[in-house]
Amino acid sequence: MLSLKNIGIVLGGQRVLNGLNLEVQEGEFVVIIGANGTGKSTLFNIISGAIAPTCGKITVGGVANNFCQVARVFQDPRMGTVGNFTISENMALALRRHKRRSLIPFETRKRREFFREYLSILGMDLENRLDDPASTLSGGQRQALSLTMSIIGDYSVLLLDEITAALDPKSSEKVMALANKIVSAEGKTCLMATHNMHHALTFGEKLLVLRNGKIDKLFMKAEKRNLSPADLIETFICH
Amino acid sequence: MNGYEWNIILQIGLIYGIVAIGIFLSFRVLNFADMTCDGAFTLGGCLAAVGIKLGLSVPMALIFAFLGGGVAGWATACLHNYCKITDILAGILVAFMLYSLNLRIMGGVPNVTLHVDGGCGKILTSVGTGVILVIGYLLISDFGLALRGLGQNRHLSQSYGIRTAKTIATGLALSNGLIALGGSFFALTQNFCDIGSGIGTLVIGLASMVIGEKILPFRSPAVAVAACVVGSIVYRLIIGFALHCDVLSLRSSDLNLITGLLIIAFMTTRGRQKRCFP
Repeated sequence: MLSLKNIGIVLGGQRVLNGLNLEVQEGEFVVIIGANGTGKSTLFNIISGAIAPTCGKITVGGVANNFCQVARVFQDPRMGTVGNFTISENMALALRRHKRRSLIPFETRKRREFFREYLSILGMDLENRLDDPASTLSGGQRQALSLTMSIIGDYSVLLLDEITAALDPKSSEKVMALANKIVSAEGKTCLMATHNMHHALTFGEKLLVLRNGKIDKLFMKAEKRNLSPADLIETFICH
Repeated sequence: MNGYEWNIILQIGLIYGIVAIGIFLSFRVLNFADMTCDGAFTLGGCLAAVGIKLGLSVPMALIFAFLGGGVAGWATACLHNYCKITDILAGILVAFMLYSLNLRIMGGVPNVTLHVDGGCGKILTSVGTGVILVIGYLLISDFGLALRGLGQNRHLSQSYGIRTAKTIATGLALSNGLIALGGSFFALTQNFCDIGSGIGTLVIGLASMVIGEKILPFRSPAVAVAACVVGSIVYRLIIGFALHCDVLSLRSSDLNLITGLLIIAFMTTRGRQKRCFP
């Protein structure tokens, strides 16, 4: 589904990614870990088309540079939603992802029904608060909204960029459980970057460790069972 | 104030109401500090005046002015998008260059007199209403949501596939088209176009917008657009009363001072935020 070949990028005179290769099959859930500055966010920026790599090739679903099939949830919920927009406006903005935005009203009754349906998956009562501004939601609710927004349009690859980093432990668990539920229900390809070793071991099929601009280690699901968070930190820091 | 003065207040209020809607589009909706307006206002006046002199009908002259303003806004957007010049500077540069261009359009003289038979009060009323309805509708459409989204969160909008450069260009072209339309109406009602008529357009437009937001603090886009016109008329009323009030012994040269103080007063009073647009 997603294929990265020999990706390299130089940012500010520094080589952030260096000959990175990655193949992700359809429906696979891949978790990526790596210390700060190893290029996780840069990698996601490249996959989502926000920045162009210096060299290398990206194909999504067999088509080169097909970024409109990539949906992304931002790390900061304030970044992934518009605070001054109501929940319904946020959803409407997301609904026309990479589609023509014409002169038809964005908030029809049919669409509101559709938004309610999607928001009810979250179980946070957001479906009854469609006209509240997103700024009135808590961080966890806002991140859940951001997650719903990213899956409402057409997509085939979902990027979760440290989605729980800005949340308190309780909301963090809740949002992560929701994300896992949505990913398994949708059956779409998913890449997740995280600093939470517990999440890295619990969720996903493959685990990648990024270091020096390359994929340094790869653990399959069976290998992950024998690992502990402490082992992972060891591979991060000591080698 | 007599009936004639009331009429003038409503007329000028409506003209600057159209300008305020243009400024609302760039400053509030797109969140783009666009300084092109002073130049675009004069440009509209010049194009309409010269158009009428060359024998164009009033509606054609207005369309001509609107398109001219649109090109000016598009130029500002291009400077911002492709030359990576900050929004404020891009607008200032275009307005600065428009001064020379406006003089050229008027044939090298600083002002042009013209005459429109029967005035254009009716056209002004219908165009004003039309602008409120069209922009009000635009803002509840998918495209309008894209404009608002871009103003609120550029990164997010980009990741949801809104093409920044194109959308900003369309928004600014529309905004400056409306401002030029206001300028052309101003020239047609005054039977006169002057190279200095655009000075202070931005401040008057902002004043109208801020007053309107205080009077009608609702989130509905249609109300927010109509509030610009209401604010503009109220602004004219306040100015009219202030200048008529003998106790204050103000002169018409004190206009800028009153306007500035008015904006400060309206901006510092509480009660905006939250429920207001966008």
